Amino acid sequence: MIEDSITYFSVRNRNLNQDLRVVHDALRSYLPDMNVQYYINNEVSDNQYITNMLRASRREFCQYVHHVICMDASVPLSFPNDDGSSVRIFMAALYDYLFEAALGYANDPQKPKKSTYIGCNYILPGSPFASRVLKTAYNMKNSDITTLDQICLPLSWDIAQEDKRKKVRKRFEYYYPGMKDKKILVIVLADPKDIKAGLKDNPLIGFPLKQLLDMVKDEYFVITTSDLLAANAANLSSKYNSSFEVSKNRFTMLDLLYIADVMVTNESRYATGVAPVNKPVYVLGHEDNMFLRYMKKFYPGMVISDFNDILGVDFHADNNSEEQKLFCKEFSYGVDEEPMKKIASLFM
Amino acid sequence: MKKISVIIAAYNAQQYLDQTMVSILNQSMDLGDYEVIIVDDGSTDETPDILRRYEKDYDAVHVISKENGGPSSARNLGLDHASGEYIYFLDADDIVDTHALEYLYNTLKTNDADLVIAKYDYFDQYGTIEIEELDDLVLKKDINILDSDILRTFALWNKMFSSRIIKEHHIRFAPVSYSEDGVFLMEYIFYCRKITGLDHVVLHYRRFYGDNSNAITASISSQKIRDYVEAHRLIIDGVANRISGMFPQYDSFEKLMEENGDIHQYMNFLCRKELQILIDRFYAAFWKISNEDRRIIAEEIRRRLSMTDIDNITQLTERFPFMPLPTVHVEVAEVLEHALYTMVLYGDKSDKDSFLSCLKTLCNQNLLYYKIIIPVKMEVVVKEEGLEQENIIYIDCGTEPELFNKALSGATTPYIMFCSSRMLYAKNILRIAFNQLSLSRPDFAVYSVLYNSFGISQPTSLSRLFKTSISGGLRYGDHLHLDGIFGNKIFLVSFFRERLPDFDFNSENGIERVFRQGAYKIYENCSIYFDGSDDEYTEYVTTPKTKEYIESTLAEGPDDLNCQDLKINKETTALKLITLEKESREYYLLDKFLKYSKKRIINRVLFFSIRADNKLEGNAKALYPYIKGRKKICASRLPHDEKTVEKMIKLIMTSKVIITDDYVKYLRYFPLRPEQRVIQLWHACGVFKMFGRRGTNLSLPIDMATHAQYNLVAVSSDSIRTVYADAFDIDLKKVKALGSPRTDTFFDPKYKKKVCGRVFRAHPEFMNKSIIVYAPTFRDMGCDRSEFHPELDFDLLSKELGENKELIICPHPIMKNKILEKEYSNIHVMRDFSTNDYMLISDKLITDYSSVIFEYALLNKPIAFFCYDLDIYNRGFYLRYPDDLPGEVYTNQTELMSFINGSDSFAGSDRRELFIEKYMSACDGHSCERIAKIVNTYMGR
Repeated sequence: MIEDSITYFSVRNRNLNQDLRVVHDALRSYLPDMNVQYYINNEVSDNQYITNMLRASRREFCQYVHHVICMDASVPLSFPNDDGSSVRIFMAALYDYLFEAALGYANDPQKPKKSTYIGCNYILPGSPFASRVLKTAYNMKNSDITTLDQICLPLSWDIAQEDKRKKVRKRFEYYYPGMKDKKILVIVLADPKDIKAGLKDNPLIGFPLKQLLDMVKDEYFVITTSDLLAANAANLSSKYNSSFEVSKNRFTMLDLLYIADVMVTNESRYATGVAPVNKPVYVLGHEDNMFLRYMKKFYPGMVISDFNDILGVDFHADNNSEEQKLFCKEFSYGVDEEPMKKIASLFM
Repeated sequence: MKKISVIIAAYNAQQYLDQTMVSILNQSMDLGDYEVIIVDDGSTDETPDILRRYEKDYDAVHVISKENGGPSSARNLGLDHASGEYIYFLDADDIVDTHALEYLYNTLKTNDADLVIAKYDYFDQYGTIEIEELDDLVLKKDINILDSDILRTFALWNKMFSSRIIKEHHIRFAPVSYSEDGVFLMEYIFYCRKITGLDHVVLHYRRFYGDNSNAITASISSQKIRDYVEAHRLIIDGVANRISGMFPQYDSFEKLMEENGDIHQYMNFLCRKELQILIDRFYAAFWKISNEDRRIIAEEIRRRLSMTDIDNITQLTERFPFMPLPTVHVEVAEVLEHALYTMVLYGDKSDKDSFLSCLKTLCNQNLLYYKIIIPVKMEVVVKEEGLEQENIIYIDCGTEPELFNKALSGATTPYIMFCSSRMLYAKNILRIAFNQLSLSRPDFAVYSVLYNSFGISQPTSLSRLFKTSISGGLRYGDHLHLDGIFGNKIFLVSFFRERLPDFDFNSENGIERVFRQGAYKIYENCSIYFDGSDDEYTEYVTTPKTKEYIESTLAEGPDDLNCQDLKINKETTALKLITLEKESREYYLLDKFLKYSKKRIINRVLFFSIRADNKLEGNAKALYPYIKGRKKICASRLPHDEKTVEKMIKLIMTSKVIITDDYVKYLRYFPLRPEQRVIQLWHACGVFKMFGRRGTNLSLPIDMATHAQYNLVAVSSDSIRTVYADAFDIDLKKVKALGSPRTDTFFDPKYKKKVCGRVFRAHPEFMNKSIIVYAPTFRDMGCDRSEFHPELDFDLLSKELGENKELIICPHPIMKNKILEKEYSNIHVMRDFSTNDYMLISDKLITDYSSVIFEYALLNKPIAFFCYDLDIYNRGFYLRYPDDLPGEVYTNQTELMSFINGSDSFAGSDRRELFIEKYMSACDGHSCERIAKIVNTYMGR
């Protein structure tokens, strides 16, 4: 074990993802003498025995880690007992499991708590929502876990930096010149694997893409990552190229958070991703997931259940609705304080 | 009237023309039913002589000679002379399937069609690649003229045409040198009453090694560009006219496109097909073509883009993400302003040759958005070599660090690569890197360095060790020494600017600093080649500071199956194993594995084989007696029934050590337990035909999964360890030069005497004769494996052998035919003793492509290679014919007789010793003892 080393963990095939990269790069400046190592593997396999083998490999690796920063909920349980000298931070990006926990405890407050995070000693919830859920649904109080409240997630802070936003937008504009002087409507949808493979029908057939583009084309450039949504673009003539693009190999999905003026999505990660910058969000309700159920229960006005309803959205509105304002407040702490400074201080 | 006219345009085709002619003249259709018209398009090599020979020997062959004018004019001349009812076009270097003409003709007749479309495949020296894109189309009996699958290939050689239509409509090839087949096809197709499919591979298209290298850009000319654009103008305008005629109710073609989804899709497909080649082959060669050519290409791209829909543009964007479509830059300044990469290469007159070799590979990148920076002192050399191009920038500098520092400080691109003149960079490296860097965006990407050896490109030992040393997690440690160079990395410029602003290439710890400061990712699929051997690469990377570590890392590990080097790496192994899908036929195996994975492991050595039923052969058989204690043979030929499967899984999951000499498919799906060990003896010595992932007939993931759980691989010499490590994709440390067990007997005089006695007792007629053993291997091309018909006149051979020589033919076990049509007193086909037994009584060996040469080399007797079909057969060898062989290659019987009757031409030379040293140095008569000791020790015996 190297005493002055930080290990970055990612076990869901995200490489050193953008959240961890933001922290990594900042800590390089704040802690120049600190050693760094990564554990970056995809442990997702349909064969449970292969998954078990990978997890065994991870457990072996964890015997030699000291300080840790991770984002996957399955990671902290791999850590051996701490002798009190290490800093182990979990950053709670808003994935579906947290919404499942939130709804589960809303329905049954007596539900037993999980001990998922007991291998950590710090948790960065990043939002009032995550802070509440973690404290409610997980064993935190009786352990030595410190919750770093009132601080946003590193990526949220990064997204809110105007110079960074401009830089990312400039990269987009190089490839999509039609974006210049327009607002950006981002549509990020998780395309399920079995639908992509043609095993199930495309649920997005019928999405009024042409009408949407005709409606917003003067004011917005529409960009999506969804192949399934793009199926509606067949037969759209090349003139729409100045107002619509399917972005696949050039940018990551999280890059879109930096440029979105309006976000349409069905995934919690992207919906909540623009909360720090108070951008309006609409949630498409075609695929059931815990996040959608949560939204239907607490923010029904932001859910678009019928595709055609998107044509009724007022994309010209200057201000967020009251519901959207509440959403932004619940899903991100303010971006005034730089979270990496706080993280760095824990290692000093 | 002939049924078919086959038209071949031949230009300087001497190399493969014979094979093409043999294939077209040996059709299942009667030779009297078709004619072969070959137009020699002004060849300057031996093509005319070869053709005259065929014309003389075959009535069906007609040769027409003309001045060189390109394939269009040659085929048109062929059409003028064709008298067949149908026309089949063939290229002078491809091979036609034996039944091609018969099946194509019958399909046209049976279906009363005017065009038949069949399947084809590609082949090269490494094997055959199936083409699946026509699978659906060829199943159709009545293909719609507007079926866009027809557009997937404009090739003519998988189709047969009606002479009537060609004559009636006077269809001829347009005077263009590119896509002339497309213009012809797309004109012809609209006259067809009916188009039908044929689900049969009619043609084997020859892919030339290097098709993906620099050949394409090197052959681009202004005329070719103009011809391509003109051809597609003819195709697209022609198609639009014909389709408009089919839909008279529409005022304009644009209106038709807008309102008819099928036509819209069809035209988009056609445009995309043109655009892909325009961008991929012509626009990507931006730096090699003139301004005028660039303008023509850009205009054509813009024109076609304006005709296509969003979906089409999206697909093009996916294929060419580095291009800011729909913007198409033409001006040099514009392209340089948007350049993505700066590639920096230092060189001076002392390493001029390697500098130029490397620079050529940089100049040939198939992506236009990059700059090359080189020292101003090399400007003259570059111009003399004709490498000057407008993206080369010269900087005044005296040393490599100075050049790198200046290039970095002035870089205006997002990425930078500090190249090495010892490396050669594949033409697609920047394209591949773009995709990798855009999405995962590391500070820098590290690429495995490859080198060429044994006929293949494989990772250097250091690159392989570097990758495996960090699997499971990237730790900082001495293993970084294994990758201590800049030439295999692509950096984000901002990484240096933001985090290493004081970086100086003069400092000694540069590599260490970038590794410590950066987030990096390792990739294997970009091709960066070192220009020397593996050892030279090690020397190139090693510094005085890293010498000790590198030497100790490369040293062979202990022979202890408990040592870390021989244990499998859980993470890399798990990622290779195959996940059985629920829909899979073999899904039920999971339950069996699970059932037996909970059973106690027995202290037993399992010998697993699929080579014979209930018995072992070769290496496993030789080793078996040396293994002490409890052991079990589990041998059954494939396919295995359910009962056998269960038995095998049970034995595999409960045996402490598994020894095999072949593929064990059951190791692909399920992880063994930590105390289990797998030892691969392999069934061949040395390295001959490519195997493992380099020569598999399985899919690559399945092949790699099969070998993922090996702890130890025993090979016959030290120099071939890297080949086995590469073929099985395992750590070099797990491959040990322990020798081949079955060769031990070659060092045992008593055994040799015993075998010779046994053979001579059974065949006293061989005593006191000069014995020549002929051990051929089977053929796959053109016939059934079980049939063997060598190009030998046995009557003549028997006469020439005389009374004192005996030729003993030892067929491969798969060969089942008689081989000899009649009995000879001095030629015999023998299957009673093994080939090895007969080798022991022999004086000479004749073989072709069989690995028996490795064992025979140990006997130090003459070997001949009778390779009458080398051109067709020569594929997928690690050995280079004839350079690496311990004997001469003979291609006909007359030559072979000189070997049979002559003296040992290699006597006195060191060729056989060198061969043994290279491939068999670990075979010393003690291989069984060495391997058994390792196993017995692990078993506690």
